[in-house]
Amino acid sequence: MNNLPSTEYIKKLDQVRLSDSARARIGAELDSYIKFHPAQTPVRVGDESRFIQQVPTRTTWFTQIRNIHIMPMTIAILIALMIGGGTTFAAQSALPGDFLYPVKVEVTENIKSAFAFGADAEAELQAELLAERVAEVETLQARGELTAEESIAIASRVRAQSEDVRQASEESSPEIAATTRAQAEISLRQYNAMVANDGSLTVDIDTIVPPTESDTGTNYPPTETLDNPSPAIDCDRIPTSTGPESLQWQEACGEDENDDTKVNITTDIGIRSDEIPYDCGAIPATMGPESLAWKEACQGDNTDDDVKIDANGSVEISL
Amino acid sequence: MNQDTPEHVFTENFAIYGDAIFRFCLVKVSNEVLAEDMTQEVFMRYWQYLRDGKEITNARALLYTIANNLAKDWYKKKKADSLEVKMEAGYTPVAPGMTAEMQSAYREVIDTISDLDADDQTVLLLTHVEGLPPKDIAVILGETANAISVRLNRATKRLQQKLGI
Repeated sequence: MNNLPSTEYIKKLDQVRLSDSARARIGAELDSYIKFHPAQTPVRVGDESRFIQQVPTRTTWFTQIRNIHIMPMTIAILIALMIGGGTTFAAQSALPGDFLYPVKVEVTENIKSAFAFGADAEAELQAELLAERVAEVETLQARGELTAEESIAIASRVRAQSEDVRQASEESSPEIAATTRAQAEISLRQYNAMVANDGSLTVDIDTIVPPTESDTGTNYPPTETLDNPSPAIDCDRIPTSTGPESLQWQEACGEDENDDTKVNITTDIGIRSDEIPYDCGAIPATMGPESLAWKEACQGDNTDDDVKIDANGSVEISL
Repeated sequence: MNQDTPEHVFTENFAIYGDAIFRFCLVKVSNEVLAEDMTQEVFMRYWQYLRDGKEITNARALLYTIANNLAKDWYKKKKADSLEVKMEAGYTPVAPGMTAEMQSAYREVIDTISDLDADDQTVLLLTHVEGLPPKDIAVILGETANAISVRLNRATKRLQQKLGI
């Protein structure tokens, strides 16, 4: 009966295969899916791990997920679970300087990024986040709460975000890359217009266009405008002491890529804050004593160190 | 890496059964784009089974079962917003790597069997294209092997009638 014409007829379907592009796309999406839904016992947040400091300790489930694919994103998601949905939700509308702002930038947005499957979605998300950064500046400016220190921190965040957009758009499809770049350019123009009175804060719009020569260094591409008089700072050389020098380094190099280690820092609140070389550029991703101490050290009343920006855009720090 | 890790089993099974599941979905929804999405969804659900550590003796049967259930859900949804889906379903991009000839040949088959009963389609496809025995199809459709044999016989007759052969 296998030779019936009807059988032959329906056998034509045998030729149907997933196209190579579809197979690759589905394969990649499934890969990331299984990474974010790892096998073995799902992570449970028990009573004993209520405190943020316990995240990096070597509990059994932690070592378990370490055996699979441990990523900063996994940690971020864990933290979000522990902090609870309410906090992350409340953090949505946080502005730079707010207590919940670090949660918004480090946790909520990383989770969004984790769920943006595929290069296109990622590129679109990064462009959205850049627009979000710019919108924050606008809100702060409208409220008249934009301080000099915040402006510098925001400038470095906007630069870092532009860099993210550039990287994401390079990996995405050409159409998406074009739209995200256009979107990012609008955001950057808007931002530059807002900070036009201070040359050192503007961001070079060329940042979002991929460089002609491959730039493999960890340094940001030269986004600083030429009239910025601050001396050249080597981003690879992390200053060991706190002081004007390290503050300048922070400004120039912004947040570096040590995201993993950031979470692992467990600080006892008893230690006096001036004993620890706080990385003021790297906002702690977690809430708890660590971030409180950070806030105290970097955002509290800066009576000791006074940051002034004069009309030329040069930064003066007097201790 | 250990050959028995769920991840390995999963990747392997996607490589082996990806095309077959895609064919199955395509017959059900008659649209390549939808079928690709559905294939992905099938494997995601399959992973849910794997990661829960459930014992899976017949991965192929499970994959088809999931696909069949998804197709049922899809039919239900289709009824709810039929116009939109109909317009969508009319759009069939040429799959890359496939000649126009092959494309039109299989399109014709899909169109022909599209108004057969859903279970008839399944039985015909699984028997003639994938070469599954009635026993396995019975597991997928939740019927007895005997019922499947009868259904196959009738479905073949109905198809012949349709084709006029």
